[in-house]
Amino acid sequence: MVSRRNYVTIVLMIVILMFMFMFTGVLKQELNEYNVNDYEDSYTYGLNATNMYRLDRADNSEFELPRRYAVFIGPAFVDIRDVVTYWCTYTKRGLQEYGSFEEYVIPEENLPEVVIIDGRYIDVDRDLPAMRELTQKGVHLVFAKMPHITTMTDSPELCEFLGIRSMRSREVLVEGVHLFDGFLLGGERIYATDMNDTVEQDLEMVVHWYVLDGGTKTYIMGMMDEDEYKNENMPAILWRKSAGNARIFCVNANYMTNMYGVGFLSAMMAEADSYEIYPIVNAQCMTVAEFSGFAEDNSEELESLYSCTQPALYESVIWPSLIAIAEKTGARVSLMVTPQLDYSDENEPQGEILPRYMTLVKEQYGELGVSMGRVSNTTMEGKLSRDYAYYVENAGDYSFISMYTDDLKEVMAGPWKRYFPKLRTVVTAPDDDEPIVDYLDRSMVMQRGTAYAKDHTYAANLSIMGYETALGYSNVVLDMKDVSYPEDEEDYWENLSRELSRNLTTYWRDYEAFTQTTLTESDARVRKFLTLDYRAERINDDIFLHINEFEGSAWFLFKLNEGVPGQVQGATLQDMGGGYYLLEATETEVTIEVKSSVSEFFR
Amino acid sequence: MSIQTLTILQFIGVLAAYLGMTVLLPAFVFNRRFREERFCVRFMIYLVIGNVYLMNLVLVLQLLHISNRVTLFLGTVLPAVWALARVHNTTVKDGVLSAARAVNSFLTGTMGGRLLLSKALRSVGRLLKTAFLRVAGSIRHHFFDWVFTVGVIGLVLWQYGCNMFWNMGYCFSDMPVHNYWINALEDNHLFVAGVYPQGFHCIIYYLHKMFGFYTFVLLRMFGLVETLMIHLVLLIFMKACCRTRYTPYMGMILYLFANVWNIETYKRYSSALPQEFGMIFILPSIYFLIAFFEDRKKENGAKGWKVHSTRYLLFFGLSFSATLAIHFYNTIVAGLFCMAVAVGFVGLLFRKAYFGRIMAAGILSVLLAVLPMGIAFATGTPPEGSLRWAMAVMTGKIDSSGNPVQTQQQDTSGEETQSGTQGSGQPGTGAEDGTAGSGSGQSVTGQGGTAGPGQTGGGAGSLNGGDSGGQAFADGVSQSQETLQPPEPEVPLSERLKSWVNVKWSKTVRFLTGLRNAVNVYILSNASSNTVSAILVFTVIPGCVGFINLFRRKTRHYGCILITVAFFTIFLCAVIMARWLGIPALMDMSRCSIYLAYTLPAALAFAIDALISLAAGWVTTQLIANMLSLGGVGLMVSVLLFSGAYRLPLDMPAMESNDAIICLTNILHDNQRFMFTVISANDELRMVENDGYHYETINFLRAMEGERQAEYLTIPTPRIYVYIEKIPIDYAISYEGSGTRISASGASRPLPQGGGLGVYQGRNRYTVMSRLYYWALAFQSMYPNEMRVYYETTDFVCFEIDQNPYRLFDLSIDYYGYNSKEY
Repeated sequence: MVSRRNYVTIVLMIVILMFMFMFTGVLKQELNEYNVNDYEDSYTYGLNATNMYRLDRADNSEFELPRRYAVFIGPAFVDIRDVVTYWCTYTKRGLQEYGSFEEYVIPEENLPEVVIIDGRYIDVDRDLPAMRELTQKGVHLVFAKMPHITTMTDSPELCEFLGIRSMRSREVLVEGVHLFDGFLLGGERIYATDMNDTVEQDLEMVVHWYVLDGGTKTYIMGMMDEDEYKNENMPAILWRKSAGNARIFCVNANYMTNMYGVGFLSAMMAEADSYEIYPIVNAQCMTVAEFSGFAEDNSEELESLYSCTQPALYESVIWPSLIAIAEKTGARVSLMVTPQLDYSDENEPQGEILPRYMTLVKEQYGELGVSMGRVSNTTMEGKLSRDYAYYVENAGDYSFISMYTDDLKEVMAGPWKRYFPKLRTVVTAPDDDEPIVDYLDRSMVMQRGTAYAKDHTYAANLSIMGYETALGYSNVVLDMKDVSYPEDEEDYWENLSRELSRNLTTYWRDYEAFTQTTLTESDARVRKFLTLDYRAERINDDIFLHINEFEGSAWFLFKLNEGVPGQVQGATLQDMGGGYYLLEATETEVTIEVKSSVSEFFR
Repeated sequence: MSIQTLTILQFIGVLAAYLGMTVLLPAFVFNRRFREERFCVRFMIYLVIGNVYLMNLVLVLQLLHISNRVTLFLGTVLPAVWALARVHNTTVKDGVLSAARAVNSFLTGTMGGRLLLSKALRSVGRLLKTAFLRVAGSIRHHFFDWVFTVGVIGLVLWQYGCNMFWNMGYCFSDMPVHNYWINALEDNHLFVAGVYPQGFHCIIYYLHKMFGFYTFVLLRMFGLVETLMIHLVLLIFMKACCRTRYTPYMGMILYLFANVWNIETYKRYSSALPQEFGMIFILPSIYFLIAFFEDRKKENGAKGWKVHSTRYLLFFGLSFSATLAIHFYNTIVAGLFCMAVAVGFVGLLFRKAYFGRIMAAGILSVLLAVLPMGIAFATGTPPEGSLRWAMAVMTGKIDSSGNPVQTQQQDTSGEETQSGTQGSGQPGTGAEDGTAGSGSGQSVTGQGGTAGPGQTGGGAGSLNGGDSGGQAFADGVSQSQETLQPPEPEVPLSERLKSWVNVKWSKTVRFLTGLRNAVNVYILSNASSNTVSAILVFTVIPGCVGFINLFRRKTRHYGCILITVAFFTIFLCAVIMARWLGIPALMDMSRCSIYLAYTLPAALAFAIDALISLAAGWVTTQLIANMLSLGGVGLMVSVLLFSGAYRLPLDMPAMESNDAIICLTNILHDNQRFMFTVISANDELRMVENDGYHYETINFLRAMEGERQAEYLTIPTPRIYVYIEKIPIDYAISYEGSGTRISASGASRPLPQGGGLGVYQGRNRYTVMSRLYYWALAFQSMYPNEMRVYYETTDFVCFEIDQNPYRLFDLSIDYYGYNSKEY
């Protein structure tokens, strides 16, 4: 027999246990305002294209210090020009462009900081004296593309000027590419496999074999058989030659024709002087695009593959994997949903699924956006109207602020404002020929994906390093359309999730100091970045950073080649390795003390 | 942390490690066996056991090529445990079982943690209490002894310790060689440069390996440690032999505090050198021999080896073997002392109960020391160069500077000429003086002498210089030559006798005057000739008083000791005057002067002790005798202090700047092993050998000279350090521009030719440093972010270069045209 007292005790214990287990769940459910976008408020009023720094406004400055500027010498049609233009925009430099040295008159005062040259279009006899004059005056030169091989062969003076001792071979197939530590943010990389014909190896592997002279420093080297060749004799791909106070950078590959070349230019300037400061976005995004786990699209194929329909696949298989990866990497998931991909079938999206995802996304501090992808011949407007109806019915008052599309032109031409009036950032597919962040119109920000999550080739890795170095920004795009409509075995989720996990946990580890953001958060940071203006100067052992007005924090990348930072006023520093520091400014005037890196343990 | 603080800490560490392993550990093990001995005797016993064991342990392990930290540790601990068990009449097995039982009772809970802790604390408390009571009792009963001993230690540290801060580099050019030999022990390469006594190197290697001191730090610090031990051993020897309590301190004060000594007699104490390290074992060996005589006498000729006196014979043998295992000169001096003991104890030595044992001990000790060298020699390792040099000096084939000695008869006029030349010469520099003396003697007369004073570098020159006795001797020789000419009429016997006496007298006077002058020049150079004469007269007193003491049974042993000391002083004087006496010069003058200077204070202390003891035996009591000696100490200190005749600390210029040492200390602290290279002139080569790489400056500059500039010059370490002396030091040799700051005009000069140290001496060093400085400037302009100033003072700068080890910098550059210029 159970006594009454014991009976009461047991019941009380059961109640307490029930309460303890259920309480948190109930509370989470009840307090979760899943139909509210928490990141909507991150927008700073007034930050739009009108107050963005543009090259044509380079002369306007609120600072007393002269703005540093670059000169580009080369034809207007080359890709490098775009890279240089955006690099100057991002780093708030001025830019002067000339078709050739013939057009350029070296000024007596207010010299450029750097002259970037497309070496393919120089006339050695005519241009070499001008280049010598520039270096004598302390102006750095960047040969974004090397002169043609015959030009080099015919001109020993140019070779000597560029720090080339000899040309061992006109062309050589290297076994790999070695990027040395201290140049790009992220450190050392060896882009080599046992078999160069693997899919990972998509870097330029045939280069001119230059052997360098004394006074040079190599940043990227082509790898050869170590038993046969000494390291110093292996082909140089990116190097620096010193000429008095000036530095001459030479790029013996096509890296500068890609947009990630902006990172190379920043790294070169960081190497050219004792220090370098430039603004960055400081945002790491993970965009899950075309997430269509609401309608039973492509049911036949998916059922044969996974024995379940698309909504079940997404909810019970894909979503848990995604969350596991996000928790492992600390990423904030930006779920860019589309109610359905195929609008031609009769399978309509199920309304009750969306609130569930909204709740889950919110629990992961993620964000919901819309995707514009589709597989049927539905027009843009047709898709917008049908999606809108679905969202109105199931998403409540949720503010969709971000949108994903792989066809930017189509979207911008479409009537999206009518359906999504609060939309202010558009994410698009990675493309190394286009800028990474910019305004699409007066208020709409474009954020380009920097890499696809499923593929990680050597070139993709190099591009990530370039973007991180230049902007402190990355946006990994996982296109779920490949899962819903797989084309080969690589698109099967079991394979895709493995690749995804491997890539995301490996290649972004060096950038953990940067902030993980949703797209709306990064939108706010991009606006601030594009609007920001600054000047830096060094007086003895103090570096002064003057920044225009900003709200909250502004982020800069600070590279110090000589010494280590001491006391910092108006900002905080975080060591990122290789001499790079993430500087978070909280005031408009920042002072960084530079201390000697030499330890003074025994004196 | 300042380098001064670090130096003090390093010194304390080295001293503690050395004393811990050579005195405290043997004391811990053998305390029970020797506790009836006097403290000073126990100290010598432990010191000898510790040093000889460690030397031989390293030698054996090195010969077996298994020397490393593990084997050294096992070789130290296991025999110590075994010996401890033997001393405590137990076995190692019992000890292990006892410990295992204790552990077991703790683990099984029979003995609780609190009980174990309280037991341990109680035993430690008891130990500390006993030690404290003993020390307190000792201080109460021997207050002045404690005060004076601390004073002597303080004086040693002050006199020789200051130099550790003032001049941090190696002070002698042969120290890098010793460093090299010690470094070779790392690779179990015992006789890397040939067969040589390695005892000193073994001890340094042991401390380096077991305690992790850098070898160069040990060589910097150990000089003071060994100097302290040399002085303590001298004090202990006197304390063990003297009859009054405080006279030994008078000798110590004279040696350490009186400003009478030639710097050559003590400047080598500034460095860790084998010869000086070996000096530690000379006096213990003699003391143990004397103690054997005393102890054996009490045994009344008891047969067999298991008698008490054998222990003294054993320690005599070990000490003697230590001198031989460390440096032959110490063996020579110890041998001379043994000869003096033979004279002093001649009445006992040739008795059956003594002679055989002593000879057996002597032979075995020599065998013990020579065996490792003999094994190496037998297996094809040739003798090291300095051994051949020492043998040649001893056999009179060359002088100390390596110049061949002329074997022709020397003309007296030649001597006179040499005297004039060398009297003003700097004593002790040997090489130049000796060579010059020999040359001038020949050029004037065409004849030279075997014992020509010129060969020993000025000593004999001053021996004759301006002395009327020399002239008298010359006259005497002239007369004897003249007697060979035409037959002379018969001279009466009385006349001949008178003449013979006159000749002998003048010869004796000349010898004594020469001895006085030699001592005055080489040893007591800051004392007047009258003081020197007085001191020399004083050294005879022990002999005389010792002779008197022989007549009383009670004081006979003490008398023998006094005679021994007196004869040892005489023998050393004879070695100094060897050339004059026509006997083989066992060692060169400068080295011999160190030993004589070490002996003279002891001889004087014994003289005073003898006189006071003599009085104590006849007219006064021992207490008054002790008080007299105490008063003597006070008087001596007062006189020296108030007359200002006290000695100031040794300031011995180093072959390397302090900045270079500070820089090296920091480099070793900041870098991983073998991840850096130092480009410097010379001494750092051996200093960094075990931890990093070194590139000679001259080789570095030559590698980019002229057409070679076109060739790649790479150094495959991530960091490179470049040492530049902005004011080049005078490396043993100065020149008319010494102290000149490096300049463009220096860099414009062609690089010095040849090899060896010559390229870093005199003006050559100025040229080399100037060149390197302009290379550094040119390179820094090319790599401003990769090359930085690591350390800089007004006289010195060190640059640090960071490079990518996978893509090395080509260090061969054109530096402002200096290396591409046609000379």
